[in-house]
Amino acid sequence: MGIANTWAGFMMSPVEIDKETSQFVGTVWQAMNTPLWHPINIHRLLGNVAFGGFVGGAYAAVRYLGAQTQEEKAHYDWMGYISNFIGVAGLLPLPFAGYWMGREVYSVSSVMGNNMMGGAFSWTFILQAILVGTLFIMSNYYLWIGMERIPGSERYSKYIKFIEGIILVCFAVWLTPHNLPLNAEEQIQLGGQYHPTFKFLGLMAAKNAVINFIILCTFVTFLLYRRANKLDGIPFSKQGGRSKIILCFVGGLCLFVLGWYGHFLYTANPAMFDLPADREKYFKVPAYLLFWQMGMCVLAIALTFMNKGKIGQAIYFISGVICITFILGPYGFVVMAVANPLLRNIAFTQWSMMMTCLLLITTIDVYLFNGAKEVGAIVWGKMPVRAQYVLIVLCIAIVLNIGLMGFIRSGLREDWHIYGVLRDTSAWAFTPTNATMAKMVSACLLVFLGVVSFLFWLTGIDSGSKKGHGDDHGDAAEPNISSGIEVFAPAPSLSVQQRKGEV
Amino acid sequence: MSEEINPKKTTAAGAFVRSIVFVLVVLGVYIYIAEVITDISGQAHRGSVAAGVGPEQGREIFFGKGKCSTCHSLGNEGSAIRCPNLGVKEGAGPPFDMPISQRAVLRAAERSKATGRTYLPVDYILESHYDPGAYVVAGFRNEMPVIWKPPIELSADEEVSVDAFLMSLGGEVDIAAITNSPIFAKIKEGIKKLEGEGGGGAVKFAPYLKGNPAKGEQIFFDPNSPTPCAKCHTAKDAAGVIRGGKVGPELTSVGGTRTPQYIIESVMDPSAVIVSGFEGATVETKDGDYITGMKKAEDATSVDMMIDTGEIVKIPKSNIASLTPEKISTMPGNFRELLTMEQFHDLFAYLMTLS
Repeated sequence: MGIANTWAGFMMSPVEIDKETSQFVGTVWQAMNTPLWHPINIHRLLGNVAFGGFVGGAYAAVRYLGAQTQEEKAHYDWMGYISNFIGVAGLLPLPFAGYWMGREVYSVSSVMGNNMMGGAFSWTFILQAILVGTLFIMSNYYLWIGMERIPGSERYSKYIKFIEGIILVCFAVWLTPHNLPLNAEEQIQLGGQYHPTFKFLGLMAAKNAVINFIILCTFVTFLLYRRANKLDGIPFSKQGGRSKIILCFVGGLCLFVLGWYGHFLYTANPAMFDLPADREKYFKVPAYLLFWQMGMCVLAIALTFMNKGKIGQAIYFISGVICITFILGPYGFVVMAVANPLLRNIAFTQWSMMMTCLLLITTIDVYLFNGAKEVGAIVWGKMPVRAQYVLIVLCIAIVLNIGLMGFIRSGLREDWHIYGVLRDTSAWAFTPTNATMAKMVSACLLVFLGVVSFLFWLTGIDSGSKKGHGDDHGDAAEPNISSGIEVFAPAPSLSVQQRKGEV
Repeated sequence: MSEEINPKKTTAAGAFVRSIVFVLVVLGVYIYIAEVITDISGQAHRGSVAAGVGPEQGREIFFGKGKCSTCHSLGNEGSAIRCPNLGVKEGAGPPFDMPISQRAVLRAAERSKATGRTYLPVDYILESHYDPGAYVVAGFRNEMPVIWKPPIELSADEEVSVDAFLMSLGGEVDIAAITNSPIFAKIKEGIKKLEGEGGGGAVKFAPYLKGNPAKGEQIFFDPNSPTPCAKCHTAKDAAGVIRGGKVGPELTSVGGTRTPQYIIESVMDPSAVIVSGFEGATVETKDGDYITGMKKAEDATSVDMMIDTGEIVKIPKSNIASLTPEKISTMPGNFRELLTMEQFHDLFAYLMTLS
């Protein structure tokens, strides 16, 4: 993939071109190591992790729907859960990989960059927003449904409606376009080209605020799922030295990231951003917030050491949400008006705060429930049918999204084969409409799913001849449901039990 | 035996078929949404081109090929904030409480003082296109591309049109002032260098066949040719006489203001972009009458329609029950059947001489 990405990178961001002759005058390595190579590498790598997870989830869903025994259902339920987990893990950092890539595209060519979300492809991004929103909402929904099979989860189910409400509101903001093609009559009815209030929701400052909030809410869902059947664990103070070292290490890492970027913003010279000196004060606000969050980080760790980890988690999380969404979100509008180049740094500030939230709170959570007693075992195989269709939707959405983003990335070059150097003079040098793109990508999806189905059918022939379904499970650990508790055992042992049971 | 928990006995094949149906339904919804979005956004791309050089053409370039609107707003029109607003935005402080042509007077004075050379307002505007980094407005980055270089590559005439448009924002348009500016001479020289044989950074468009403009002119004006374009379009013939019909857009300088790809598309697929003022429309009046023609103008109170006789009919909006724009151009869309490959390239070669 990295090799294939080199020419995608070169076509968008060619380097070492002699401007007089249009000839490439660099080395092979220079041709490979273009400004967009690594952004594309990272974006595609994370995309493929999410893609693999959700495709695996769809396979598990189809098998679950056709399962004939409880063992089969348990297995494919478990597989669906693990696949969704992998998909969400890849999904969470994807918006930021995309933001980084978009930023680098803009750095290569402001014309190409503006064409993305402010030009020819701005409406394609509305479609992308629908798909991304679908991914987040559906993956959350799957986890919420999954909690129904976990004894003890009823303690947390009251929070789900709030999470759901926040995600839906954030999704609506995420989806709001800034530009709407209106005729004269519509403009008169609206009172201008833009809605007086909703126009702000279409700007990048609002998008950055809500996508972080969506990710944090998804994270909360995951935490609730994780602790659904757990009672309190061993007090942190009574745990071994290793847990304390790891928590301090993770905390130190968070402090380093926050401190490093806070220091950068605090000491930044506005001239670096082509801004006049009097704009310096606008750099201070995000810097102070980063320093504040450092303090909250220390407090959260201290509370964990005092066996009040849940309070520590809550303080760090709430502080993070307030800083990221409710302070830096509106502040982004101020920055856009008076120091626009700083907006990218506001976005990075939000991202670094959000990542430290995920990192620190997860680490505390691991030790908070270390050795915790369970209310009951997860009852694998008790998922409703609708959950399986959710997994299929996730698979469809990720494949459509990958196709759509490929369309945008490649289409940004418009009528250039190698951007700014070699024109595409062929009859195919045009940008299809969004409708054409959607049909083409949908056709690709059908072909892809057909090939995958054929592949799984082929691999299933052998296991079918043995009259068992355990052989196609692979060697991964999976739940031994026959023991009645949530125990993970190597696949072969389950296969043996199943065969014994079926004979 | 293991416990049977599937009382309806959904087989693996049954589950697979249901999944396929579900996938198709989801894809159907997705494609429908994409169709709706294309329909909505497609209207924004319709109605652009007018032939010639001037502020009207400059405005079209501003929002189209030049991509200026992706960074600059015009007062409350547009949403871009990356670069200075070139109009007057409500509540903006000085000097942004003046449109760009008036602001350019102040900037020119600043530039004269800084460089020791005399700057006219138009020189300031031209300099921002020739060398955008020469003067960067406080609060913004030096990130504007050179619009006559790749990838935007405005032609010299397009550059003049954009400058004329900017001058029209609060000021008087003076084309001669633009073309006589020493900075415009530099831009023109730069464009010429880019287009020079063997030089230039970009590989230029080249038609598949080298057409004969004289034959193309005959096709254009001959009423008995397969495509007698002059029935609807005005252009300059070999004798230098401008003649032809007024039903379609004037093509007197189309070769100098439009890209080859655009001209080819306009001939082969006339409905792809319908020139502003030449969109077909059907008006249903409240009396139950239908008026079909081209919508030439619209204001708050009335709509001007050109009907098939060439007459302009003014319809009060108070009498309009509905106005339905036509997405299909009135120009025939079957030129690929009417013209041979050679004839098309002859016609294309003639159109490219119209500058």
